[in-house]
Amino acid sequence: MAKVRSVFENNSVLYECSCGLKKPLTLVYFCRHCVKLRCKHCVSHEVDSQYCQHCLEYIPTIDAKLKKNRCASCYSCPCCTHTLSTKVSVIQVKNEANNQVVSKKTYVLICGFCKWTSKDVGIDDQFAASGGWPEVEVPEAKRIDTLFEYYKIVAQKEKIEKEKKRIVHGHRPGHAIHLLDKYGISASLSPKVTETLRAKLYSGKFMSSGYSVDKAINDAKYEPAVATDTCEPLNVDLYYKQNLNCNTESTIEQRLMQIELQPSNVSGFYPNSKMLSVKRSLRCKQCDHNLSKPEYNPSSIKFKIRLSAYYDIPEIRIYRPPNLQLNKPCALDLTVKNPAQYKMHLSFLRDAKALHDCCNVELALPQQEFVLAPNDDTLDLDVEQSEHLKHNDDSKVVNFRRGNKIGIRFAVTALSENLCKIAFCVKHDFVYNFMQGINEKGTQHSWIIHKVFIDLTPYIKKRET
Amino acid sequence: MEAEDVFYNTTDYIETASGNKVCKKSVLCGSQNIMLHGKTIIQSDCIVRGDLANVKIGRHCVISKKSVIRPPFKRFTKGVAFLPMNIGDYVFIGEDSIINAGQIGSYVYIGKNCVIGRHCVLKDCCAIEDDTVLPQGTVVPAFSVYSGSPGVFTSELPECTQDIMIDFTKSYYEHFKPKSVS
Repeated sequence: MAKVRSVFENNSVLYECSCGLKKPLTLVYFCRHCVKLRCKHCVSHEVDSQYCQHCLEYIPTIDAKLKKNRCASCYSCPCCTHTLSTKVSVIQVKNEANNQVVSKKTYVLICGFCKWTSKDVGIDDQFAASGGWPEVEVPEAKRIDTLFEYYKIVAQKEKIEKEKKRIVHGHRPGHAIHLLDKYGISASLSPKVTETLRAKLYSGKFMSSGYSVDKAINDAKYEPAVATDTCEPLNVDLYYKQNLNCNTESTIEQRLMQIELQPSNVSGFYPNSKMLSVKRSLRCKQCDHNLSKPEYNPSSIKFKIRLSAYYDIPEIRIYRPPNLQLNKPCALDLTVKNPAQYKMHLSFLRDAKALHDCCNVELALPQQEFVLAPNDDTLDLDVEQSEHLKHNDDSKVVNFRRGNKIGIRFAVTALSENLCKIAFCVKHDFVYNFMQGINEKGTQHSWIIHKVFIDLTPYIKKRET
Repeated sequence: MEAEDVFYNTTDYIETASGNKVCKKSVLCGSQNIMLHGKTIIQSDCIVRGDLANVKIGRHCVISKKSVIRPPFKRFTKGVAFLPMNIGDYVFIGEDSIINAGQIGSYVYIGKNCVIGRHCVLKDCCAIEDDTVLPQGTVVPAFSVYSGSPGVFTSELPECTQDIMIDFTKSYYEHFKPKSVS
């Protein structure tokens, strides 16, 4: 488990997002418009399209809503969640009209993993290959539907109120809050005072405007849920005295998978329609630009917009596991990779805030600025050994250069056996080409500083006892 | 962490003109039906059953030790037929895994000790965690991670998966070096 994660998420080197969370580089986005790092927690997520994970078919939003976000043709096994497949068998049917025996194809849903079949629950064999499987009647369906209707009206009411509030708001200039806004005093008042003024204003509106929709709700006569004090006595014998057959009792996961039925016994299992998955796009909350927008085709791996930090921010990795000894300056080898197609100027900064995040460690960051060669996919990496001389590097600091990658060495002194975390700031330039108008290109050149954390605790050599 | 050097005995491996490195201790049945597109590593004790049906493996793939690649069969009314198997580019297959899939896309990571059942379809950019069993006919969509037995969707992969896999398999190939004879 750990291995797969470590390929896609390098958890030993973490980058600080603009929201303060520490994330591996592959999970961070870089907003080119704000020139800031963003992560999944500080961007807005939007559903782009729905698709079925099994048949990989794109399903329009309206259809998905009608089908309650489930696929119409794929079912998952109620026992083990694997997708059910249809098994064909041929049976002999006697045609009553002319007394001839005809062979007919019948279809059964079967699980390829646990061998559960639709026959187990008593569903008859179907004569059509796809679809036509009987839907199970949900006992509370009527009640759920009425509640849905009710909540729709409630939602509408809230929407109308919001709209009204906005309109009426502009029509009453006599109110104190408007005067405050008008003369720009509200900014100088404490936020608490303005808030209470606003609240007073709105509470007055609620009384007058909500009345008609309230009436509509009352008219519609929805039965509210009624609490009763009669409840079934708990049958203790069921749990202590009866022999429980684990083979026929369903597990909590199996019950929750069929949330409407929640069968307590295996015999009540019905084929479960597969839930749909979504493709989503991400949007920066500050500048409203898209950070990620996938193509609609469910099996496509292409993106219309993909602003992963992996393509703009230099990736720092530990080159080889350092051999840290207590209270001794030891060499730490890092590699820095330039993902951009431009030469990158990079330096390490000793920020006071970053130093504060260091734990039990002293580090001697290199002072000079490094120039990283641009990323060139066509380059053969084996030939690049003479680069060292070209950049006039200090061989004590720069281990090697290979294409767009550079090996950097600096000293780290661990001060405690139990914890060693280093933090530093990386400053580098960022070139962004954008289209200004038709056939006109603009170039934006900016400097970015971001914080990097490296956990070196696993590499401390423990004192032999 | 950068990829570590893995050294192999030069006497154990054959390197082809297109850069494939195939271990002599692996079993390639029906080698005329096995097609490697270049820079693919097949390590020791692997079994590739080209005698059953065609096996095509793309560029920059890694087939780790003791893994088995076996084209899937399909039962028809008049017996059994084996169907060809296609594996895309930049695919990593972990140790001791058994691959029976119908189709494996590009940029796919399969962990150790996995069983990929008959006619499974692994789309581009997906990953299978270690010790996963995918029952026959499972479809793994793009950017998803499957794990457990039976394998179910557990998490998503980042948007840059394609480039991570290219980097991972390429650097694996670069660090797969012959042992220097001294």
